[in-house]
Amino acid sequence: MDTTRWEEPEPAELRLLVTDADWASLAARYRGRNPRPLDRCLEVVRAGGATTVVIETRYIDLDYRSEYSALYARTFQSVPDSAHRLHFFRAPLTADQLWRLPDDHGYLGYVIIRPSELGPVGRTVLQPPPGMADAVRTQVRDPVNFFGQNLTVEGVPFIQQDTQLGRCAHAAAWMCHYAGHRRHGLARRPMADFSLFANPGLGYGRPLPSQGLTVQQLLELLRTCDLPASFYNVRQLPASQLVPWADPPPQPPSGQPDAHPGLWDTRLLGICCRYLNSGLPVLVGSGDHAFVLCGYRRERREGKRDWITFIRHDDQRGPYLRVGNVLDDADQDTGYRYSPWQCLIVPLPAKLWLPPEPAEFFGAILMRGLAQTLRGQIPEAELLLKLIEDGRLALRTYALEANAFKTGLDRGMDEQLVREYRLARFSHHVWVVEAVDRDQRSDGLACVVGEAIFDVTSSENAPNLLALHVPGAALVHRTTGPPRFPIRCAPDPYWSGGVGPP
Amino acid sequence: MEQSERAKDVLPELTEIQGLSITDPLDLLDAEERAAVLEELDKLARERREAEAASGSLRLG
Repeated sequence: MDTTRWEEPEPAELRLLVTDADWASLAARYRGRNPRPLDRCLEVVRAGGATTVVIETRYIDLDYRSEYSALYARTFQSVPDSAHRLHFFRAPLTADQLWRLPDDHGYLGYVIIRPSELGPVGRTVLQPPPGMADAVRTQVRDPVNFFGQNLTVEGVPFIQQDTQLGRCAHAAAWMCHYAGHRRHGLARRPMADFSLFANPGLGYGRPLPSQGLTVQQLLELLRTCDLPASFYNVRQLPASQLVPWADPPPQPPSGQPDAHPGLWDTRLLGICCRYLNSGLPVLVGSGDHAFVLCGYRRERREGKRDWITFIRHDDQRGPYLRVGNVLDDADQDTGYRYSPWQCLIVPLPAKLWLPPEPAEFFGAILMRGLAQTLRGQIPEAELLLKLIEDGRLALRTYALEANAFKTGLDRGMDEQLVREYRLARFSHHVWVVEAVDRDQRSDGLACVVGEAIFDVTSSENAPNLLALHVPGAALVHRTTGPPRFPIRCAPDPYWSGGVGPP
Repeated sequence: MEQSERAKDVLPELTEIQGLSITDPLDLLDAEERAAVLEELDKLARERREAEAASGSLRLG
């Protein structure tokens, strides 16, 4: 990458992106030692219909400045202290429109470029490519000021490691944290913090140049950055049979009892989906590499259970990449084979104490219990039991702020129930365990027939139920006195309140 | 009295189902089922703690 006259032209350069040569020229301008992350960013915006890139040639970026201060300012070699910011638009723009954009500019997002060929792609937020948007579940709204004009992009934050100060684990932690900054209002942490604040006592070797982070370092780092994380060791996933009527736990392939569970344990899918349904990214440790899951899609299979394909941000390969088969993980374009997944690290809002597994288990048992109790007097409740009996009941679990849950209730739910939920006292965040009719879901119809709602600050040994609903009736917890019960409501299914399609 | 009048305005009165009142969600389960559920919750919590304790020295980078 040529960094001479890095800050010219002033203030910006505009390029139209019409031909393959235009795109190749842009890629060549910022080509790094590993060109894949930038190439993938360009693929994403090209698929989104970009026709113009505007390059701010002296962008003072908080993340790059932090890296400059911690690393580049200390190197013998001179490195520019500013970054470039590339803005992509669908509309073909002209230079005289930059200070007053047309209404239909079609902003697609930005890529910040570090003046370093070892890891050029800095903070990046791009709209997901068409055809993938519904599967992406951890996107955030990122405001951007473009020459005095307020723009917004909705996408999942991405960054490439610089290879010296930060490695894949730092990049993955930053991606989760920047999303938490935008989604949950966490204080902004610049990229260098994820290196400078890693506890060297929990790792090996010298902190700089970095060789990565141990899991202990990563967990401690996320804790100090206000995102204490849940940890799942793929070799020790919960052995309990979560719900009595669910499929039995998966087993290693016959004759291979020692096969790595990352090659066969399908419980991985459900664990990841519970968090992605909540809009929370999942950091995956695969061999010695880390990447971030940011979405999933349910794919129908004739005569078999649905399959889940994930979307990942891999700092070494780029944003919005499809993971076709978790249990045989290979990059779809290059064929690169990932190691079996070893661990899942899920950075969480600090007060989300109750894990999803006990909430899902207890919620399922209580929904069945309520339906059994009511079936004599409220015949509609029988529907839930029939779904269980026919193997058609699926569970969808997600966490969200109670206010967001209450705001989002206009999704076909009975008005009586909406009134009760909106007037109820709930914890700041709640876990919602939805009872889903598989057939309705497959047909793309409203498919939720009930739910259990839990206080996220309660104990995993005794999850505190806030509300329970089955077809025909519900009960809602009160902070004074017994629950409100029986709240009668129509048995009609309604749409899910989790992020993305169920 | 005044407080209960105000409460009536906001939340409608519910019609009881004869012989059915729930003061604790665990009332929905019989004694045997309740014991099994509590045991399963304890087991889940124990498994989670054990898995976290084994997070060990895996390095990502």
